[in-house]
Amino acid sequence: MGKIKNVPFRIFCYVLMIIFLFIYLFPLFYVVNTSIKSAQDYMQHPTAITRTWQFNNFVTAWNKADFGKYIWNSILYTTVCTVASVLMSLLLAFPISRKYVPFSGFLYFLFIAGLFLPNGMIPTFQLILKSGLYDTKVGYMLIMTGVSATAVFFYTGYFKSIPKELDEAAAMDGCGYLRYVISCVIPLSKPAVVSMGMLSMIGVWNDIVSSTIYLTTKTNYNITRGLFVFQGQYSNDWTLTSAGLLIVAAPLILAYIFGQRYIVDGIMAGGVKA
Amino acid sequence: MASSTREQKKLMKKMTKEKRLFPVWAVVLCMVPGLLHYIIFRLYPSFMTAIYSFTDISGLPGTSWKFVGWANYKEFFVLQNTRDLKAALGRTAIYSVVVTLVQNSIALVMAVILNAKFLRGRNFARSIFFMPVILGAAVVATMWKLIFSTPTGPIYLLMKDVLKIENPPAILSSYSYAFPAVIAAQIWQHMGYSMVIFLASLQSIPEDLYEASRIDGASEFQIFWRITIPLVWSAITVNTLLAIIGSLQSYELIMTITRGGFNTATLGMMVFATAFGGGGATASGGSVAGMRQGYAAAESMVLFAGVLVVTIISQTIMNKLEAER
Repeated sequence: MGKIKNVPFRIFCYVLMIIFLFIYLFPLFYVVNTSIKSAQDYMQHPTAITRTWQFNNFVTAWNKADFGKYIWNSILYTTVCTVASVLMSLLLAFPISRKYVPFSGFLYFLFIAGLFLPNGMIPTFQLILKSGLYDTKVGYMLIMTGVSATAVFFYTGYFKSIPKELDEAAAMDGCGYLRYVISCVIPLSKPAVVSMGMLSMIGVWNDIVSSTIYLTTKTNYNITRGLFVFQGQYSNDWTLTSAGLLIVAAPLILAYIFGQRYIVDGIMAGGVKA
Repeated sequence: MASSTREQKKLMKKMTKEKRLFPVWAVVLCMVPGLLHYIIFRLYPSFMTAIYSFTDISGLPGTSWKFVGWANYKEFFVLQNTRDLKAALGRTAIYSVVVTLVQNSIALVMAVILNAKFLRGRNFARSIFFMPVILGAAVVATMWKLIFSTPTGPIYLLMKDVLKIENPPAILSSYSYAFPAVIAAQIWQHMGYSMVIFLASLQSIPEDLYEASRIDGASEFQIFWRITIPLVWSAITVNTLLAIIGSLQSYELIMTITRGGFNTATLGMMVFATAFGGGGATASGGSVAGMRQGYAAAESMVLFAGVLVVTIISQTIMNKLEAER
């Protein structure tokens, strides 16, 4: 089997990859570059490679945009919503996949149907408004928590790999149901739980739409709102905005570096349902 | 004989019943929070969107509302300035078609290239292309606002200083260039997603098939056209449908980049703006007057129906194309 080397084709592939790498990396580098420029340097040479190393921008952005406050809100929202979403979805998906409850098939159908129903944004808003949860942390977290069809679908597939004999053994030994799920099922389906958990974390951390709709008091803002502090009606402070952008994106990028496989798996599960 | 099988069946039934290991009440009790949340925050709102579309309910607390029949739909299709309606529907169609075609074409070509074993740095490239998917609308929007900013942004300066264009347009506040810019941002953000779906599909194609055709003297272009495309057709179908549905409904980037101004509002954006005011993601979060949520619900139902029809049509077309192959 002699390998046939097609040199022009190889060059073509490299060129195309490099062009697209440039398109994808340029904005990222540009933001990093802008974030460490002094205001004066930016005024004079906005696009040039930075001459200053103004790490102070991060401190200024942190203070001016109240990131110090918002980041705690975001951490709270992300943690609570993620734990709640993961637990609720797991506790739904497990009995459905094992048919431990009546109407399991119907319930499964109900969740898949959720993928095709109209957007319920407006009635949700009315519901929150009427129950007095508008502009409260609790209301916002209720919105951002979600039992998605994706999660139920994803877990159901995963649970098939856990032998049913384990359930039997646990029940025989008198292990309670909730304890069994928490101490056996969750550890055994760790990749699935991590995937779905990271997906939920990313979704909550990035949220801007629900935050805009439901949160009007600054003490309730999540971190993405801080990004828009420097984007005024007439002028933008781009050095500070860039620093703020990196502050918001840093946890995402870190999570991506360490959990890329889980994140990609989770996101793909949401898409390839067909 | 017959009675013994019946008994056997009975016994079997009893055994399977005993196999219901955990008490049903405990299992159900654990399901209650999730089920309640799903019913209250997913099923009920979806259902109520249809109901609210026949009312004049507003987003302001304490105001009364009543049923108005088909008035919202009539207003949308008949009374509303038809030019505006046509423009919005046209934009929604352009947005969806361009995003679907361009995003999937780039993604497919990138996937094929990054699937080639000889290519160094392909894993790195994959990671980079996928990253914007997780960065979210707020971060991506801010990034592109910086790139397109006027008069200090790189694109503006490129047009002015390198291409020597006199009075280059301020892209994001231009009635003709803001929309393409938003489309580009949308494609930039989601290309990696389609690419990964294609890559998964490509990896299931045996390498021998390519080797054999190369030995037979097929050109890379022929291989792409005759082998790769037919074999990843199911991934093409999935990606096309996902892109169509996603782009018809998405408005996050539009909202965060232009707030729907400068001729960028698609139907999804209109729903949001009608329901919650045009004030987009500003720090002050201003809720603008005119939160006509009954009307917005009607718009939302139109969008839902549109997505449904387009999905069914494109699914049929994709299946037909596959059958012809």
